[in-house]
Amino acid sequence: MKRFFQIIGLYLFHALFVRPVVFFVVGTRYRRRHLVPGGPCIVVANHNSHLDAGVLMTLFPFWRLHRVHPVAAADYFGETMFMRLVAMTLMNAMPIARTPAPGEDPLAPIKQAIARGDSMIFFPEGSRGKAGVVSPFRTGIGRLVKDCPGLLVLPVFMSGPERIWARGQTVPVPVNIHANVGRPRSYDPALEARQIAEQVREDVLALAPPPPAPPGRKSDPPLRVSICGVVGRELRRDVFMEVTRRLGRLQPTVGLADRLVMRAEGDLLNEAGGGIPLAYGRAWPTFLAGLFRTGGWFKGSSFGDMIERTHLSEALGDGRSCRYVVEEGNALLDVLSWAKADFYQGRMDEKEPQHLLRYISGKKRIPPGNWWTFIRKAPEVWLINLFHLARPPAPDLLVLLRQQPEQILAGLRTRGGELRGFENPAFLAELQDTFGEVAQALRGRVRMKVLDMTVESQGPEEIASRILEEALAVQAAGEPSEQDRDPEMANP
Amino acid sequence: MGLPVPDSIVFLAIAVAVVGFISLAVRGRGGRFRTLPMWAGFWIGFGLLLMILSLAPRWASLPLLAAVMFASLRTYFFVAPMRLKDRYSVLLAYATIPLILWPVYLGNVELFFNVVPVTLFLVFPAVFSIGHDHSGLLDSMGRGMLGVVFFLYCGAYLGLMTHLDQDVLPLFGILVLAAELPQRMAGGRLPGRFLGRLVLGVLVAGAIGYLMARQFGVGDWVGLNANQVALGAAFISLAVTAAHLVTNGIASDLEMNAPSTLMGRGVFLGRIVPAVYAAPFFYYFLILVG
Repeated sequence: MKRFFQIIGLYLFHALFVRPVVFFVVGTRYRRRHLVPGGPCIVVANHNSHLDAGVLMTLFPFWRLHRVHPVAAADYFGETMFMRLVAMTLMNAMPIARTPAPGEDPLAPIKQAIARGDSMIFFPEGSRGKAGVVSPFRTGIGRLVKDCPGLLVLPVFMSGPERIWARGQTVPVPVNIHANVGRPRSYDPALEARQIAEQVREDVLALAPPPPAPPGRKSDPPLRVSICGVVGRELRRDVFMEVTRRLGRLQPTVGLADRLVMRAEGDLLNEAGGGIPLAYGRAWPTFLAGLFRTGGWFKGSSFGDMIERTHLSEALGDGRSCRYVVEEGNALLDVLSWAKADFYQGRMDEKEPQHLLRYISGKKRIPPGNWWTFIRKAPEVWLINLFHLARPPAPDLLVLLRQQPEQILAGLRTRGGELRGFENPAFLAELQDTFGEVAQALRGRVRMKVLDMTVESQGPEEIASRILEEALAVQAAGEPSEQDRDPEMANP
Repeated sequence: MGLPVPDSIVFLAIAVAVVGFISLAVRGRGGRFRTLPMWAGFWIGFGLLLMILSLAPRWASLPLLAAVMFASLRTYFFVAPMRLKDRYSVLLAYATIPLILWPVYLGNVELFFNVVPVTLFLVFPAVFSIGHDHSGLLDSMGRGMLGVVFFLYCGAYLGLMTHLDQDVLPLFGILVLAAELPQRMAGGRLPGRFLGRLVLGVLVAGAIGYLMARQFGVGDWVGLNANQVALGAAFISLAVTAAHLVTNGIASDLEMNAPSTLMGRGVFLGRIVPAVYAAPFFYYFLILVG
């Protein structure tokens, strides 16, 4: 009978207080809520606020509430009668001793509940801790998983509660809560409890969104790595993917390739569906390119693609929310190479790109008296300058991959299909030289490292390792010292 | 039309439906067009709010406006987090909602113009400045004040417009839609310089407004002729452009760019801010043209 009244109280409390607060006052939003299993499971989440348990209970259907138990510290929530009433009765919590007596298994009631088919809400950090910080997980979750083989663990990351009602705050302040639900999984019970706890923590942290920018100093712009050069298309794409993946394991990385945007974080690599998600419109540049016969055999559509990708790249660079941007190809190198071929008739010294760079960056307008020359010889530069189409950024690390033209052609032949007119050894060799010369000229004008690599028998992994090494070296060289960071030290 | 609701309401519903249809038709093109149906979905809700404000008595409709203000402000403070010590300023922002809506309910414009600067623009900086640690104070104050300006000050004008005429709010909704749709279809970066984009947007909105006034007589609802409606649409287009400019700047400062957008966050600002930002502009326009 006592349990009956307890369940009535639980449902009334949730219907009249918890759910209205969670849905209407703090406006909780869920991501992938459908992944919550229909059967027993243990929900594991970060813990920063007393709201956490209430929010996680709303993950479950209303009719399952009496079979969901948040795990609560017996010493804290059993302190007063009011706290016992709210926690143990109205929230259906299950008390455990944080400092058990010798020989006592504090997890025994939880195991019994799981055996009955109930679900648990578990905060392995043990306490609310510091706002916004996920403390190391205690081994309790590991021991629980070891003792209940096959138990489904549902990782959840919540952002928002730490700002609403963090530890030490008396008055809650409503802002939104986002609960990001991960895929439920079981862990190998043969592992040590500590190892399981660490794996669970990694799974929870993998769900954390990029932290919102707090007031104050902004982070540095991302390091740009452009992978260019005349090699087989598949090889270049493989190298690009590998570099993006590897840098993504270090810090948030975005990969930009033709019709492909990837976000790599940890081992996660997503291909954005439906092409590039931020299309700023390629119709207009393509139309202009067609009108002014831009790009030679690249044709207008390539010019339009290039402008669109540059806009996306600019947006990423301005926002500074990722640490690395990896590009397949580079717009600035392409435009300068076209200009070298047409405007300078293959001759270009180190000083000459200066004018073009100023025109491409939009710092200087092309004088109307020179328009006709540019329209005839370098219409891409003229269009970019006149219509402010884009400002292609220079990379921090430019990777120039080279391959023997015969090797490239052999690759093209094995791929099948007819070779196009320009796909001949002489042209490919000339193109390689052009890229190399432009890169050298560019290096004298902007702060950029060039990695010139001749590919013979190396695989994508080997090439990516070399690029990664250089990228980290460039990053280390570009990091401001403590003296640079502190204006008072820099200007005593 | 012989329906139990005013023509302006029916016309607003039709305008939202047309926008929704266009959005669904072009979403397959990908890129920016993919987000259009969600924007149209937002306008179903916002259009409903305008209709309720227009039709229902103020004691019933203003609490709904207060709820929308609260929800908007809450989401804004999630997207643009403040310092932990600014929590009382955030609470004050919420507490100001009834304070600012009281003169709106009374229709006392003079009181409204006194309440806003005194309670919002003078008390807020003081509450922000309480304490010893002032690092990030200006940044935090700017974030807080912007939220208050967008969702309380601008939002309150929707309530003030209920005192003018029953058809004012539906007309406002129609003209904002007319100003926003071409801009959203064209994308954030039209060719040419900023001035060119601005002029193009204003001209298109003005032309749509003029055509609607000539063909459907939307200006007659509030006593405006076709030229005045076109001018109003152009005025609103200016406001919407300004709102986009501000939200783009905020999004950039908050680092809500492509990766964050892929995570599905931050789109809220870009949808609601242009809609409420244009309200004070339209109110003053109506006062100006009498």
